[in-house]
Amino acid sequence: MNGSLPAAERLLNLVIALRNTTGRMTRREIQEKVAGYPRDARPSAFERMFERDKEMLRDLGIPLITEDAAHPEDVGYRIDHASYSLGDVRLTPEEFSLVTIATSLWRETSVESLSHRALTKLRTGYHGQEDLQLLTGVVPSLRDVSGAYEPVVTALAGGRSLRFTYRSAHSGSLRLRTVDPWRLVLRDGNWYLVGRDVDVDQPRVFKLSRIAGRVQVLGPPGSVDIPEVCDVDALMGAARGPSSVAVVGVRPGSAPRLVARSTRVDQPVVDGFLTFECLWHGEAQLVEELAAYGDGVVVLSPPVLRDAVIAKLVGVTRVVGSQEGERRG
Amino acid sequence: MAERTPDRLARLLALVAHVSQSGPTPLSELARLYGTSSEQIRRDINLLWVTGTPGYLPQDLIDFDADALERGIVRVTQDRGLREPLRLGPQEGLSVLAALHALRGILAAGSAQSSVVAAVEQLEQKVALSLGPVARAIDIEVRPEVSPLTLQALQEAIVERRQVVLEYVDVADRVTVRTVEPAALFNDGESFYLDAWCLTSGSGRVFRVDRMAHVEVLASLATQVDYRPSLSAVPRGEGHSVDVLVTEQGRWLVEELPAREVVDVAQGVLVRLDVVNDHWLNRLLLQHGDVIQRVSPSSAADIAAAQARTALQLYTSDDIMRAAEQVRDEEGAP
Repeated sequence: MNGSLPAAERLLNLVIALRNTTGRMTRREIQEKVAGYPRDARPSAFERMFERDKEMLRDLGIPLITEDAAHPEDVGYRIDHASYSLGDVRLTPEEFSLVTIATSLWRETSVESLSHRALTKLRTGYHGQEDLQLLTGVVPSLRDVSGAYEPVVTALAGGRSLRFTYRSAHSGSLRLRTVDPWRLVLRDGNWYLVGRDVDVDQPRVFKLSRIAGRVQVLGPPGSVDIPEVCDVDALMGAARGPSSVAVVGVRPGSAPRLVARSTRVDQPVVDGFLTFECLWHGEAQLVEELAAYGDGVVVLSPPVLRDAVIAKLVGVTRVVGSQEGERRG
Repeated sequence: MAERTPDRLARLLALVAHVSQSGPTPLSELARLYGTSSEQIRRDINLLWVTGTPGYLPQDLIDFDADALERGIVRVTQDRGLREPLRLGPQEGLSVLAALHALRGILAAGSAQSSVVAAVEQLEQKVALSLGPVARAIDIEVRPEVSPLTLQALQEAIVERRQVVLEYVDVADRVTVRTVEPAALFNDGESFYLDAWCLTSGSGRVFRVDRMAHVEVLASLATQVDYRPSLSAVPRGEGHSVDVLVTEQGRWLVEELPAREVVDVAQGVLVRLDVVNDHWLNRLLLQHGDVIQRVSPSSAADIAAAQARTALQLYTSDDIMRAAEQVRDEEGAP
């Protein structure tokens, strides 16, 4: 047997060998017997290949068990037959249709291939055409979840830590964070990671879209325990800060969406404006929304919101228009 | 693009399990079920055919009925222990679970039958159980704030192919009244959108359901039965090109923009946008003028800057300053 078989073929041979072996196989047996592993490779080259293969099989769900031994040479590998199969997750035709509809949420996102793989497995033995009309007229979809989703899920699934560069919401400054992941959270269309910030040893909330660059998964599998209880909304609330009442003047006919969620008040009276109150949690979105209303809206209180809107508007006056198309640099 | 090894391996294992359990299956049927081509299924079978247990003698290998395969039928004669479908991997399971949580939220906000919502919930439990403790790491809430009656009316219009009169608050916050022919509703995790043929503008349009002030289903039937919805909240195509230079501080904003091209430059990030609606661009500049340095062509920047100056004048007027003080005094009072 030569060592230049495609990876899929080598891995398949490994799965079949371990599915059929009585007992277990040592690394050496695997290198010598399983087609696709180069028999004459140096031990270090084989080790690297085998480590990658093990990881890939575990990611795929194959219950690969390592049996420790006194001597490293005798460490054995086997597949746990009892937990190999999809078992109880066998679906009825209606359930399969629902999973198909649900996973279509991931359409055109980076998670599409993971959910496609799940469907590939769930489909076994099932023939029918999916009934995608079950939910008349509603097509679910999610906004893309940024490249951070996959490593976060990998770390959660393996009980491992994460390291990434994070952009602070307020200052915009970048800092390297090491986090033990606890929860993957979706609120108001935005994805967050909740976990323990290792450097400060405190629970923290991270917005996935503010993670810059690559996310590193580190630490041995099972080194992070996912706590049973975690009050995500309390942590998210703490991250958002307490709410305050904003008082704004709105020109009649302006800002209908703001008006729709605000309460009309009598005081103070401003000539040409109606006065409204709405809740503000300190989030940047309200500042952006108010700035976008231009002179249709004026902020009366709190001063910190008013100053933020003024700062936005001053920024807008500084945007430079350039007539010629930008040259790429 | 080359297929990723785990994706192919998952299908190879699934093919053997599927055919072992379901009996002889046409190649074309397998291609349809697994979303690939008949040629690819044939390549998969050729690969499976040479895999097996160490020794790799004929009796050690996975085997198919060669005569049947000549007629385009796949029949497994030796499965070498791959008869059972493989369980879900942890990342796969979590992604399915997340999708089911989100779907249930969307359904509950809409007007789906409670039996369907219950079925999704039961499925979530099945998947969560198979995943074990890690399932609790997924915490997803999708609660679109939208009137179930509006959704129900739109769904009814889609099913019965009726026209609808919409009172709509557009991106520029103007109220418009339009007659549309609803084609599909979709949800991006935050908002519901209606993709419809708009008779008023004579084109396909996407409307946010929470911006509909009023919806009335008409007796008249839709005329554009061939209209294919884009199902994208981001308008596509037929826009004009606008270049914006975003500062390093505003890099996060780039991810949220309908960018055609993104180039890193010395001063920040240069983004070429596809702008379909000038009001959208105007709002973008007003909302994020603090992290946008330059815009080309310049007219959009001039307009936004003029609007910002007018708004800023408000804050220096006596009237407004007096009103702001009044609020502060009241709040300061014990």
